[in-house]
Amino acid sequence: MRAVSQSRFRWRHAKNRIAMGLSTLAALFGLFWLAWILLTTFINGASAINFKLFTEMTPPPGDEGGLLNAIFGSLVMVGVGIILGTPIGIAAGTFLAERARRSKLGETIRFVNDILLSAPSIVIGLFVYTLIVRQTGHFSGWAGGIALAFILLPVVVRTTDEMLQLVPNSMREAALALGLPQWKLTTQILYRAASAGMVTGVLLAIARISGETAPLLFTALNNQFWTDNPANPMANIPVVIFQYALSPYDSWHSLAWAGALIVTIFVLFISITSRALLARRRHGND
Amino acid sequence: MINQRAATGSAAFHPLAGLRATAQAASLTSTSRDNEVIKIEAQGLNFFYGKSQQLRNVSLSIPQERLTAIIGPSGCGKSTLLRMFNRMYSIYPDQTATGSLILDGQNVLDPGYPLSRLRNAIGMVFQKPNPFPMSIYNNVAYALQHHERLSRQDLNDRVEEALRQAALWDEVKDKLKDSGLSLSGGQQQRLCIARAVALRPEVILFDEPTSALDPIATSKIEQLFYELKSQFTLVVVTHSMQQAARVSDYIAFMYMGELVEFGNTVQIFERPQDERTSAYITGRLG
Ligand SMILES: Nc1ncnc2c1ncn2[C@@H]1O[C@H](COP(=O)(O)OP(=O)(O)O)[C@@H](O)[C@H]1O
Ligand SMILES: [Mg+2]
Repeated sequence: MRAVSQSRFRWRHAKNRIAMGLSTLAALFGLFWLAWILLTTFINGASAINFKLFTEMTPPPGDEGGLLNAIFGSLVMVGVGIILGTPIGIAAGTFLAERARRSKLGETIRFVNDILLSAPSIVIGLFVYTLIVRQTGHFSGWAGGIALAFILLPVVVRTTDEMLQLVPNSMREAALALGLPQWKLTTQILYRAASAGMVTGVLLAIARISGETAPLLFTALNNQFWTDNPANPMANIPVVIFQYALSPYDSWHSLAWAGALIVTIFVLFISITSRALLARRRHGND
Repeated sequence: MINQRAATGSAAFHPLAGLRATAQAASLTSTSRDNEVIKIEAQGLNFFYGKSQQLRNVSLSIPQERLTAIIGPSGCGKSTLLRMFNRMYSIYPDQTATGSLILDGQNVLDPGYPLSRLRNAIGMVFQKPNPFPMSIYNNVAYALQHHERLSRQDLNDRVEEALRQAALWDEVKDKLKDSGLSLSGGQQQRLCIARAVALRPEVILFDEPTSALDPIATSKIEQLFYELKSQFTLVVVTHSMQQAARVSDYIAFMYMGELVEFGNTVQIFERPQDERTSAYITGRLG
């Protein structure tokens, strides 16, 4: 008896260890590639970082230069994406959570939004290309910003919807019982209660659009020269990386690495900020 | 058991000491309830969740500046009845009510009666403390500012007055800018009372206001009832008969969606008229 239960115990113990070992290996396998990618980006990027990146324009083939126009273009187009996408996304998410929680219309909108959320970004690029670039006859920063807005929008809609649904109903009843109107309840109380989650959603959406290449390739394209007018084609970091990395010139390669590092650091910074925000919020609520 | 406590309670600590006073005061009026000024007259109330009727022909008169407790087993319709007084149900489209609730000569169930005025006149405190995600000061000031135009000084005075009435001022006067969520559960519930009191309502509704609180916090709230009813008409849903015995002047006993019996507290506990009432107060029911 004793011997039997002993050997069973050992076998269970062994099974446990094997499972643990395999899942640890799987995790390490994933982390290994991530670490490799980050390390390569940092090593190659760091050696390419210099002051000229932020003062000079993208150079002609084979020449030295910087990324100023691309950095500026990226900021402008991500900015346009945020300014267009965030208010619409928050309004739509609010409608879903506060007015269409279990209705057929709400479920349909959620379904369509989820499709948009997982749509390949190149499809969105093509869509905006036909919608704007074809109509206006030329590539432009506006078209790029609009394409990015389409990618940001469903993320914001979804997080707003979910975060508002997490606010307990008793909060709504408390405000309405005091005679407060719906718009004050929504803007002053519900948004405040859900703010950490909503801001995180917007930040993660920004992180996502700042690395998007395909939608910009079809909309903003690129521009070797400085422009501060989004009606023109605009340089941007992802497309510069794409073009320069494929080129045969060493100087362009190193600019592509520098661009990759800049985007990576930006995205890391945003992800860490949003994590910190959520953590602080959770802590503050206790 | 409870009868005995109601009749002979003489302990020095406040709730029971108060109980004796209540019992005496109540027995004075027991012969003629008509001596009371009636604040709200409910006639023929029916309530429906969709098609399912949960209140049947409820009529009762709520006396002014008294505490009326609504008691009865879980699911008998206490909250449903309470939520008719401020038309809280009207935020849910599938809930409907018929009958009339006369406050100062007007039927508040009439869709023409303005909700904002109704909820200014009738405040509500919920089962779980639900302060807004804002500072202690703003929790009290926010709805007040919505209903009344006040100078900074007047607003400060009104906030202090409300916090004093809720017996919270001494505990929070040095940290009015702290989040309302940083308070303990009992303090949060008193903050919710202050928030309701600040609007100077005529009636305050409480839905099991102490069921989420510990005994000490509960007894603080029960003491508070004594002070509040010198100015306000209180309607308190409670599932605790002991609490009803300690704090109420009148009791409405509900069973399966009907009002079985309404009377002053001493009469209900000593000479219940209905078999179901005596079964409930002796613990043989629900
Ligand atoms: N939102 C709702 N939808 C449908 N039925 C409900 C709803 N709320 C309460 N009820 C039903 O109405 C009855 C009375 O509920 P309630 O007034 O909450 O009881 P109490 O407060 O006395 O415990 C119960 O049978 C309950 O199941
Ligand atoms: Mg209830």
